[in-house]
Amino acid sequence: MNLNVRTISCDPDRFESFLSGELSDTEERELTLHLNTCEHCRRTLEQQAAEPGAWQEAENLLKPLGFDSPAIDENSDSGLLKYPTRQPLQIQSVLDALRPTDDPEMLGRLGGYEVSGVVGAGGMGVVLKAVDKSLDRTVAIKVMAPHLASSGAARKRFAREAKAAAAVLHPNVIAIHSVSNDESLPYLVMPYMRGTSLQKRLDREGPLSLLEILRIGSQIAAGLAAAHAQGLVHRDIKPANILLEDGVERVTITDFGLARAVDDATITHSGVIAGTPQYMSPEQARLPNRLAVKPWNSAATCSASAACCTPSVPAAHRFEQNRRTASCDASSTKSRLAFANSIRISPNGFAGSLTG
Amino acid sequence: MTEFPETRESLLLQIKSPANREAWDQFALIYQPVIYRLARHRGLQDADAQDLAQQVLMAVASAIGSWEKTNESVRFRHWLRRVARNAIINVLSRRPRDRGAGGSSVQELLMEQPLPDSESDAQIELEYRREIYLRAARIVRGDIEPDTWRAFEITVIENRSIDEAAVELNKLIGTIYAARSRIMRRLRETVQELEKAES
Repeated sequence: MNLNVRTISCDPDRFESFLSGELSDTEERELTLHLNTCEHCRRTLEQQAAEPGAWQEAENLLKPLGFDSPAIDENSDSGLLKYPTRQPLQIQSVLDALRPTDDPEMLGRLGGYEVSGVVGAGGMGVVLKAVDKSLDRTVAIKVMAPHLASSGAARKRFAREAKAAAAVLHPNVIAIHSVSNDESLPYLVMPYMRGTSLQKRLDREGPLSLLEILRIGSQIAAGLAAAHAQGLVHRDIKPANILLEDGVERVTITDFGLARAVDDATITHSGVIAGTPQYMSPEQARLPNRLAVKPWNSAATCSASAACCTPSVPAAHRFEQNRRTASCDASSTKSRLAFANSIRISPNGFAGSLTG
Repeated sequence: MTEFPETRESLLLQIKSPANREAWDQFALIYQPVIYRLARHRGLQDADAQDLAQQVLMAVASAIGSWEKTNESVRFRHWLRRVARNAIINVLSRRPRDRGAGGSSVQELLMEQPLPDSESDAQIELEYRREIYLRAARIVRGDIEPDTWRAFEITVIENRSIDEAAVELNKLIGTIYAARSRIMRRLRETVQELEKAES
């Protein structure tokens, strides 16, 4: 096709018909060819399509936010697809930001670390597997998501996570090797643990044995106690944040991203919501007074750790099928008793330690 | 990701008028992602943001039954939006250390008179507007060829050059200009229709 042929002269009247789809196929083809070469008509067409503000608004509002939009109701009138997940994009943008490496086995370089793979992606960023060349040890590097790295609040939260976790030295709390907050992508370096999260384990294997529940539960409690002794409240205890190391019987609490110092006033003033809002079931909605939105304190965190163990209990002994509802119920005083009753079969001490 | 069957099934029984029921459906569909994003912007994780959206919608829904008895003169949609705004601002500005443990109920989300908060108002308005655009985009996208949409996506949403789009899609530059202008027009028209339906 010869791109330089002027098939029609500049005719703004055609644009309106084109925009409302009233041109014939031949006329559309002609217009398209004309637009190939005519600067002036391109601009005129775009102005007629919508005012400049609308173009700008479309760009601003439709560009990805970096986190998933919630699922679209499939039965809704538009009947369109769910928004695709942004996580692959997020991982890609972190990998793109790595510096080149000479090692063909590696994906790239970050600070003094050679990155060998991606462990996972979450709300705040991407976790990479890497080798610390100077010490020859494998580490996990949590890199802040690029779209968050420009936000002061997000950087602060990232720094807080590092500070919080680093303040607690305990076998059941993730260690922090080092932190970098001044590069374009802030990151923190932690030991690499071969293993899985409690969440994945539950998804894969279902309820745990009583022995496992006791082993894991007591280690979570020990880790949290160490954090509380430092004046820190984790505020986001859930199975996904509990790591189970392969081979050794060790449980590690991770993700101090929401942790708060008990006396830290700044966070309560910044408008950040402290803690995980309770999940509401229809029954609860009918009995609104039962629902208490409580501030997070060490007791609430302990309740959450009990709730973590709830799905670990074999279904026959659970008082609720719905895991999230169960977590919520286990956090409220009344249902702690129900929870205790539901696992009456287990030793008193165990029920007591989970629900007390 | 979780949707909200609970809201639909149990709470909607409380809404007597079918027109109001439909209005609620539309409202929940739009406000769920709005609240979700507001919460994500403030640093909440996915599950927490969903819970929060659920919490606000439940609070609003639980008040509908009593509203129908007393306020028939106020337009339902307007009432919903006002109540939701108050609930969102209350829940987002909730300062946990101000409260005694276990004292506050979901009803307080509605009862508390929020402080004037122009920043939150602007954020709610922005996210509402974003939701309208996202819905419009899904509608427009559903009726056209994937490549035509891609031309718009690359050059407008991703803000890349016309040339790049032409190369990526193996199309003439003129085709890219034509496609993105026509989609922009349809998008703008659809946004206006949705706004009208919600006002």
